[in-house]
Amino acid sequence: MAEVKLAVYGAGGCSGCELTLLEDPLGFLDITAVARVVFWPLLVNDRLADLAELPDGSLAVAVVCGGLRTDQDLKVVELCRRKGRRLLAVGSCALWGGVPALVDLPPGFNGPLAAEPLPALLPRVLPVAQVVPVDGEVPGCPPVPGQLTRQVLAMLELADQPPTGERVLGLTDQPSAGETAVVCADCQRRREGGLTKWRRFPEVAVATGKCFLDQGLVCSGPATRGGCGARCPGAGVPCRGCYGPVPGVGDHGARLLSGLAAVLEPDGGEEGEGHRAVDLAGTLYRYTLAASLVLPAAKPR
Amino acid sequence: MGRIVGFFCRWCGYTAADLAGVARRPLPVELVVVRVPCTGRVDPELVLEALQQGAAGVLVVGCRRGDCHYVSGNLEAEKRFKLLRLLLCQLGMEGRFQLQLISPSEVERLVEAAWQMVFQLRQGMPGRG
Ligand code: SF4
Ligand code: SF4
Ligand code: FES
Repeated sequence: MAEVKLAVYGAGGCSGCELTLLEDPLGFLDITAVARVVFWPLLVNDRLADLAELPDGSLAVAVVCGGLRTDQDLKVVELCRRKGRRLLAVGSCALWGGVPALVDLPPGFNGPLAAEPLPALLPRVLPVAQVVPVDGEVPGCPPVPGQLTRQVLAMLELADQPPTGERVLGLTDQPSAGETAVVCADCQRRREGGLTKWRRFPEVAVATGKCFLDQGLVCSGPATRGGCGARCPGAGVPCRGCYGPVPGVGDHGARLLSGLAAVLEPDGGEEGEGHRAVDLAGTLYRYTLAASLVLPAAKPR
Repeated sequence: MGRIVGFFCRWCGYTAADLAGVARRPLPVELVVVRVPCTGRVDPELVLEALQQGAAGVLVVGCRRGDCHYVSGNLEAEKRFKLLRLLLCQLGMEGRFQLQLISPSEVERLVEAAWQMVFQLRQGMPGRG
């Protein structure tokens, strides 16, 4: 039987998603029982030549974490696409740019440019799907460990079937929140009243059991796809939106903006509380700026 | 200059635009009007999409407070678009979005708002276009 090969690459991100593979040790053992990891710069093998030498389509699955930030990211991801029968994009950065993409908020990045031997920066951070077709995705910053390993296993199983062209979403284990429910559906906190004043997290002694919005804290739950089990509100901090938009919603930030506006008390005057919002763009698009409508559309390649 | 996309509520803005035609008060050629049932129906995503696809500006026109046919569509729109304006400001695109609440007979106000937006945007296209 031919060897089943797996590659993992971390582009522009923090390596958290890659390490999340190991956070479900049993799941990871299941993966290594059926596949051999032939390329994974973080842990196993960082020789790009090894990847390049493989015949096209000889990897069962290529896992890409991180958004595309440099020339090299672009090159490796294109290689992954060519060598892999299935390409799995993992984590908020790979799917929508993630936090690193906030560098593209105006005025943009003005720091010193990388010089040889560092790879050159791309003009902007790009989600993987804007460069190559993606077969499956796992959202999260980082994803829930079990969801990630299960999705890799599912992809490995699919790898020998002809591609369907359909993108596989990886959250089928959630009993309460379906694929299209929002984080609030899983949240145990209760809404009571309207919101009259935005506050910042350090200003508030957070009450348990009460919705963050009622306490004046921005929570991304109403606009964010469920599936994580509302782990942040459960742990005492507002949802930051890492599972991205509900499938079918184009712009995560616009949806969250509507959600927040809906709970604001109408205030009439221009000095209303809505105007006290600090860094609205960074808050609305914390994980999804690179895939948003507020940046010019990336040129089709 | 690119187009200005107008999302006009059928009960007020759209009627006013109609009346403007009857009264021979020309609206700018740049203005492309989309009739909507109520401003409460205008998702901010639509506005952002219009801007991303090259519209110079977006003008949303709805009923005056208390006059919305669906009671509170315009109030919801007001809250929403206040935040949207803030967002666009931060992104260097101020001036490219406006919300006007008028009554169907306020033809002058509509015509003025539209022309003013055109003049402002012609002067210095703020942000990317
Ligand atoms: S807004 Fe946040 S705190 Fe409130 S119910 Fe939704 S997820 Fe829970
Ligand atoms: S609660 Fe929100 S930020 Fe936290 S893991 Fe879930 S989607 Fe991500
Ligand atoms: S009906 Fe005109 S704004 Fe609602």
